[in-house]
Amino acid sequence: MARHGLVTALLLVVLAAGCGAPAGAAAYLSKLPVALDVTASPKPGQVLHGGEDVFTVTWSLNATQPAGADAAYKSVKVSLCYAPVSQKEREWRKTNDDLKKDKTCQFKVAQQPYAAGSQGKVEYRVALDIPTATYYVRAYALDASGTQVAYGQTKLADAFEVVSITGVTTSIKVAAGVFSAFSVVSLAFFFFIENRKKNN
Amino acid sequence: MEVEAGAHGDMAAKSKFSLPVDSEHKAESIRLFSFANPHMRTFHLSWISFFTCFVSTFAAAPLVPIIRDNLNLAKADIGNAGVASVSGSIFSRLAMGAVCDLLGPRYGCAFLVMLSAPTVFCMSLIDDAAGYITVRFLIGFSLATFVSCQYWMSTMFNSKIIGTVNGLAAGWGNMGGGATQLIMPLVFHAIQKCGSTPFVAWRIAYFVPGMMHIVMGILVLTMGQDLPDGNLRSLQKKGNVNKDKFSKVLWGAVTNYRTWVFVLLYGYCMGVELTTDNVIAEYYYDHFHLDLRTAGTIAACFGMANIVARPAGGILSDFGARYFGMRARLWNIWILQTAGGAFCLWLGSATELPASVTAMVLFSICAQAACGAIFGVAPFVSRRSLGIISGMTGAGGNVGAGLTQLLFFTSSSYSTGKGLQYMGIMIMCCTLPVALVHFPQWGSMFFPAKSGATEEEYYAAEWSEEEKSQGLHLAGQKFAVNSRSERGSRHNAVLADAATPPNNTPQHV
Repeated sequence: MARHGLVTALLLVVLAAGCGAPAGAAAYLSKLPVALDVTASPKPGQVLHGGEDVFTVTWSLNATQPAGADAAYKSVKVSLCYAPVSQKEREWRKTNDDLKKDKTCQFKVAQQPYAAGSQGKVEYRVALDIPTATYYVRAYALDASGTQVAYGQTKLADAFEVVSITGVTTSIKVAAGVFSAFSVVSLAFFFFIENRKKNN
Repeated sequence: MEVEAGAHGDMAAKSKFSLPVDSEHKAESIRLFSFANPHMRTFHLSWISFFTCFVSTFAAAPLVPIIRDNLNLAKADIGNAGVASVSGSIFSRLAMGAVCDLLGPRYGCAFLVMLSAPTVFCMSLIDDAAGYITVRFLIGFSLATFVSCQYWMSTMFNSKIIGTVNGLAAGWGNMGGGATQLIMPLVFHAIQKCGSTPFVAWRIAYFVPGMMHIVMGILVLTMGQDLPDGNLRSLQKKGNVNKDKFSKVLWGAVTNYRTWVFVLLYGYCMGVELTTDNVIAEYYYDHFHLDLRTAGTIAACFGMANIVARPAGGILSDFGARYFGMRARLWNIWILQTAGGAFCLWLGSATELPASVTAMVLFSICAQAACGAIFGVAPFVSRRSLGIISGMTGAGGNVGAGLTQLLFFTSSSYSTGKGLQYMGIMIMCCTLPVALVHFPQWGSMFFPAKSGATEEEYYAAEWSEEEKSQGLHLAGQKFAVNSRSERGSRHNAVLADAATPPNNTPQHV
């Protein structure tokens, strides 16, 4: 029966979702060394527009780090992170020390191989799906297995703002207007036609 | 299924209907896979219109993870929008009764569906929290198609099967709340694949429910008819001119304590069903880190259970009543709804995905069956005020939905999982009042019927002496005789007349 098939499909979906989670070592932010210096070009409080503005992020190994500290770093992942003011009353952006459960940094700016001794840099155009919020930038150093082993971030006080696209394109406005008008007009049309037929 | 004997010589007219009909040309049976004019066509037009309105009212729910980022919503905004989406129909359902009286159910349905289409399209144009809440409130008005649906069925189907027909239509319409959790993420994903960014794609996806409104409205206008004979004018002449005084009917409903118990109960089965439709997809997306489509698929299973669960509740109610009468119906409600509350508590506490989904499916089956079971008892509460009691019970569902969303899913002080747990506990507590419902002639959950009490007395008590002297209560007396089956099978065998010893049927549950 269709219902039997639905239950089977549901069980498969559930098992797949449960088994699909990648198995990696757990990393905790509080245990990671702040080994990278990260700077971002937007000034504190600057407003960037989704899809238009471009900014630069640079990172390098912190001078105070002992030599050889970056032996394990294979790549660097730079992310946009929500500032605490944008996390208020939004539990889907909550910070969790366990980086597997952490929702603070949801948008990847770039992922590049780590070049020891030199400064990394990326230019990034604000993507079309970045929501309106206040952000700072964090860079994770990843080892060969993709687990975070160190990080660095811009100062929270230097957080900048992004204003997203609204998503309301002109064609959507026109289509909504046309269909709405069609609905009302055709209703009125049917009503008057039938009333005229009734009265004739 | 033969046409009843004693047909008034219009056999020629009756042969033009594909279903057996009574003297008013209302169908006496139902054939689900037929689209024959007028009865089955009406059935399908009607339930699909109701289904469409459920789809558009809850279309935002599976897309909330995208919408909340696009519009910069906080948890309070999402919760308030959910409350708004179910509040509008409290009033529109009350007004719809009057509209159906004035214009007929076909125009009532078509008007609502086509005039709410612009509100659905408006959803694509909003860009802040205030707009979101307002539009969801306006779209919610369309849930009044429930009234036009039930009204239209009662013009087309005989009262012997109207319970089954209305239960099927209501259940299948409610299924829209589940179907939308599947449809919207699929459409969103397809639009994304075509190259749109998320903040544009969800807006385009909203055109699907909007177009469904327009299509159903046009189908209802072109293919529907108000009466089996297609004649609207005679409906306005003879039907629904309420010979009874509205104030008396309302007073009768309001002063009967059982009405309020069922208003409360329905708020905690239908109400929590609507609330869960609004929050469950987001819960699975956030709590279990699933993607939008997987979360939507799981959430869909909640609402789709309506296809069998709601009618099953009514069937269980009828089955129990055959042996133990009304007491079985009341116990049926209590068991189903309390079990639903327990499963809701489990749902909120579950930390593993398989356990959570199992809890959700069991919760949905129990809550929806309880809805069906409650409407298995509602017709017996009063004969005179049946319409208003049904309407108030229905409204209670929406009030319960708004209340539970406001209490448990709007504040940031606890998570959605905790909110589900509290809701489960509240369901179990608010189901206890069903033990208070006592019919003198049938008993209650814990007390047997009063000796000597009769159905005729109960239904005649709704009329004053003066009204009785005019014979206004006589139609209800016929129902009273038929309702004697609510005493259960042992007593139907034993009873020779109304005055008999009280029943001592042990209730083993």
